[in-house]
Amino acid sequence: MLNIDLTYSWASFSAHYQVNITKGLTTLLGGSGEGKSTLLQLVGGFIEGDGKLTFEDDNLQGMPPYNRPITTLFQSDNLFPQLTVWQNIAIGLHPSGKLTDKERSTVEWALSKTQLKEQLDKFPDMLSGGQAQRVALARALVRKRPILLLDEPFSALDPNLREEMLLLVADLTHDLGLTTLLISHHPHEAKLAGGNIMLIKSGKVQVHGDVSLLEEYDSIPALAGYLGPNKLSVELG
Amino acid sequence: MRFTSFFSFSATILATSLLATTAIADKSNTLTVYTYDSFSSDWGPGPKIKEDFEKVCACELKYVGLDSSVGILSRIQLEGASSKADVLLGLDVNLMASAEKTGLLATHTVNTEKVTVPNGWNNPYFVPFDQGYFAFIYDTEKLQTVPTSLNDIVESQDLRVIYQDPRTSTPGLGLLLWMKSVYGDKADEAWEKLSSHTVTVTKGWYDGYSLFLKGEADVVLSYTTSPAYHMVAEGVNKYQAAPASEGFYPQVEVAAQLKNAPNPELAGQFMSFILEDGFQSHVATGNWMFPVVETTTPLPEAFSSLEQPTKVLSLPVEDVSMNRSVWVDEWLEATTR
Amino acid sequence: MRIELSALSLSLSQWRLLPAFCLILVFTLIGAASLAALLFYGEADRWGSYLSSTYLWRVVRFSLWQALLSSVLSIGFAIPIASALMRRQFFGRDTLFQLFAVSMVVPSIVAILGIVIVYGRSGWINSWIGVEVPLYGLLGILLAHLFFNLPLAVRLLVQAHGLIPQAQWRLALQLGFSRWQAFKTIEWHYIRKALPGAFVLIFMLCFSSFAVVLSLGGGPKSSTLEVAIYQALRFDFDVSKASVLSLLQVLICSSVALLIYRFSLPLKQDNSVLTLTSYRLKDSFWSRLFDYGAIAFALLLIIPPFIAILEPVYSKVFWQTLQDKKMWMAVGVSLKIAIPAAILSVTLGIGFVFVARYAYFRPQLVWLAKLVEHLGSSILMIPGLVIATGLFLIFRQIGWGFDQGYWIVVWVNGMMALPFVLRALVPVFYQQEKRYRMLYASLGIWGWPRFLLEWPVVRGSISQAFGYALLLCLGDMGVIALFGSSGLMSLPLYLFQLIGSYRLEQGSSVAVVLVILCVLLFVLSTRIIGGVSRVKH
Repeated sequence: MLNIDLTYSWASFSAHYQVNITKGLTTLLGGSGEGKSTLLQLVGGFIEGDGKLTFEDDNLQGMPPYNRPITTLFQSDNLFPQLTVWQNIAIGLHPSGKLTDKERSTVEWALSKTQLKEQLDKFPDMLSGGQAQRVALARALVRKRPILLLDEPFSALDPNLREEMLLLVADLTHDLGLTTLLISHHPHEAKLAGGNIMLIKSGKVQVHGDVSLLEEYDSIPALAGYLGPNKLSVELG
Repeated sequence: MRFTSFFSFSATILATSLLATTAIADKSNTLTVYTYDSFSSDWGPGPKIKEDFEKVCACELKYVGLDSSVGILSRIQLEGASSKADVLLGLDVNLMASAEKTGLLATHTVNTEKVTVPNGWNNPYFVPFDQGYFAFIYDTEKLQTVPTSLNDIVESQDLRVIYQDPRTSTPGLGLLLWMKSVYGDKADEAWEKLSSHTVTVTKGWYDGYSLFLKGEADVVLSYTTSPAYHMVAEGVNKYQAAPASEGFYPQVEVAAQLKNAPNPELAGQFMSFILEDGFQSHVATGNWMFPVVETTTPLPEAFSSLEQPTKVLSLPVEDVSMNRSVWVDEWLEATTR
Repeated sequence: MRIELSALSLSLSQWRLLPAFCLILVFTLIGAASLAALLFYGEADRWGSYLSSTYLWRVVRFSLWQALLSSVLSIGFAIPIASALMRRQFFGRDTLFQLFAVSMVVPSIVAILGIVIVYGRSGWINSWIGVEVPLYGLLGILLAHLFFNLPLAVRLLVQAHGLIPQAQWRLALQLGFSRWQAFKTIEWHYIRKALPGAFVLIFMLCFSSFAVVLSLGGGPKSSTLEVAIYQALRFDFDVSKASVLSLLQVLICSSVALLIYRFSLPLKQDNSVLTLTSYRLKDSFWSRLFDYGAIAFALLLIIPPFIAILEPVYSKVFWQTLQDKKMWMAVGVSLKIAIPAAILSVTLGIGFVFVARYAYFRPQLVWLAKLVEHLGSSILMIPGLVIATGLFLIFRQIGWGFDQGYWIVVWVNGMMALPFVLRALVPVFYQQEKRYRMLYASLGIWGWPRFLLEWPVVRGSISQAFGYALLLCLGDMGVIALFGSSGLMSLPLYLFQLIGSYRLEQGSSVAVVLVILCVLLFVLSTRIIGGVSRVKH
């Protein structure tokens, strides 16, 4: 269980997140600038808020990012352009990149999970966008941190690929027993991935519950407001 | 915005500086003298000489200050016949041959009989204006055993010596000639001995002298007149010139008129003026050198306490100009062995 | 079809670079012509004899050795120091940084005296610890060259450091990189790009170093080609010998540069556009020890000579010097030369980088980028005295005399500062090209409008370039000495005049004024051109 009770103010924006998140996949929905990324950055430790943050009763507040049981995947810039695919994944186990045989097989495992076996000697600038984000995902896998934060890492990919990646994340979350938070702009993706949804508005968690809530948006004003009059996207999904 | 205003600001500066340089002075009654800049500086003898000369010539004397004695020569070598200079003031005696070779100099008509330089003066192109002797300067408060000869300096293995490079400085060349006139064919051995306790060989006089003043050496090559500066200008008596029983090597600084001088009459008048009191009386405390004629105003007291040569060494100017590069090579060879 | 199209657009955009090409052409022509004017002043048949002296080759060997050592040490020490300075905040860091910009323009005699006051026989080290430093010889030369060039190297590397995208630090933070791992994985890749350029620059400076090598070298065993060139030009007026030796110097330095560039690795840059925020990486006792150790080392090496140089502030003479009208006139003359020269130099530099960056990212034109970059730096290999003399000989042909001396001084100074300007400009302009050239190409923005759009990003580097150029021209005395006259008495010349007439104390005070003026001008130009936000590092 990830327990969040955090406040954060910056310029004219002020947020207060109060939510308890269970194991599995949670999709964060909400308009631009409502505070989805801020929540992820607070949890990841890249910005410092006030309040309480615990995971399985361990306090995370004040802990540097590298010590938190968390891996964050950003929208872009998840790879070092100067390192090969293999090295980029290996530094997830050891910043030095020097691995034992056992760790090597862990990397091999992550490579096969993300279908990157052919690419391991390439440099990031030779990869496609989807491949690059899969490398980042593979690194997240080898780090074996129980929490995975995804800040729209697949938003630049075309729809087919995006759905493919999403299902991969959902599978991995299920197989490895992760607590995954995923920001998305597409409600139908939440339906596709399953699990929970969370709606963020003005720095607050407005709605939190099973993805099936999307079906009953009519009875939930906040959701109805977010989805707007054109609910096609939900129905389509 | 800030960017554009910056550019217009710099453009204004450019424009004003352009105006400043294109405004050329009226040259009709101006005597242009090329000299080295410490001569023409405020504390040098230049301004007072200018004042005295302008009293008698009804003209304007303009100095162009160059970086060194050699600088004067290279300037006219570069300018050639188109030079706007009337008179060159401040060539070292050892530069005379090169200066003459340019073919740019005019003969003078000055009577140099009363000139008191060693071995007298008889040269159709050059008139001497001051003189001195190269010497090693030491600090009386620091140095216990004072060397009494050039040989002492060469032989004393624990004496820390700084001198100047004969390839780049006049005193350096002076020492080269001094060594040659004392040691002759054995000069290379002497150089080798000297080099074993030489602290360093500097590019110019001021580099070496400054290092000495900072305490880097026991003796430094300079002039017998150097102590006079410290006495007169600073009231410091601790610096003295080491005596040299073999004799001192002189430095004579000379002036010459240019063949294509824009103002030959004034130039001729100035050449004669060089040996008069209006010039000579400023040499001592202005340039820290001895005058070349007996002056009516006595020298400051400090000058009489200076080390006097028991004997004056001198090599013929022709020999020097012929052998200079051979002797420099000999020095190089001996000191880099 | 596609190939044809790209060829067409290529030639079109090459035309757009015409003004920049013209700048390069003028620069090259003037540089080459002044050397050629000297070469053909004398007879060609004696060229061989100049090169047959054994002493000459001994000098060349020594020059290579000391320049190599000086630049390896400068760069070697600069790497940990730059890295530590980027990582740690401490009181006086910005001031230290400004001081670092100034060290390279301290007149050589002033720096030599500063070093002698610290390390000399009657120096601080000897009187405090009782250890006499064997200063005269290679050690003295290295100490002085480190004083001049270590700060320069640090500044160049810190600039390269600034190009590291923030995303990389964010990743490092998430992955828990240690000090050493962050250096190896991230910093090194960016610093490495700046190394060849910095190395070549410092190598050339040390190879042609003159007064330092003579004064601290301990005798004619330590000498440089520059001494021989000076001797040939000034004492023997053997113009063709001077130019042959200059050519030899150009040849040697170019070979070294080519060698270095050959072994330098291709760059890998990413396309991050994140804004700058600073993250605190994983820290440890040892990494703190290392960083503060590196900073302390830099302070120990650079600061004492500076204190020695600034010591006259406490003397009465200094305050008298401040009331000296002549000194302020010299300050005026220095500014009158340095400001236009710096503007010229930065204009030239921008022309150079426009062409170089255009060529750099087009595989068939990479050679042109290298050529242009090297051309801009090559001016350092030719002694300023040689260029000035050559220019003078040309001007005499045209019928101009020393009346134009001012413009020659401005132009030569501007040219001499170009290598420093290029080092400051090249990294950021290359990065801009790499990231946005497609965008600019698609929008059809080029030339001046593009420059205006880039201005907020590049102004920091331009201000650095301008600052360097300004300081270098302010400190010049080689060029101005040749053309000097009573009308052009710059501050360094005034200083030499004072020292040249026994007035060491007054000269030292003028040196203090020069140093303070340099710091002020550097801060001012980084503020005005660079904008306030860029001043902090």
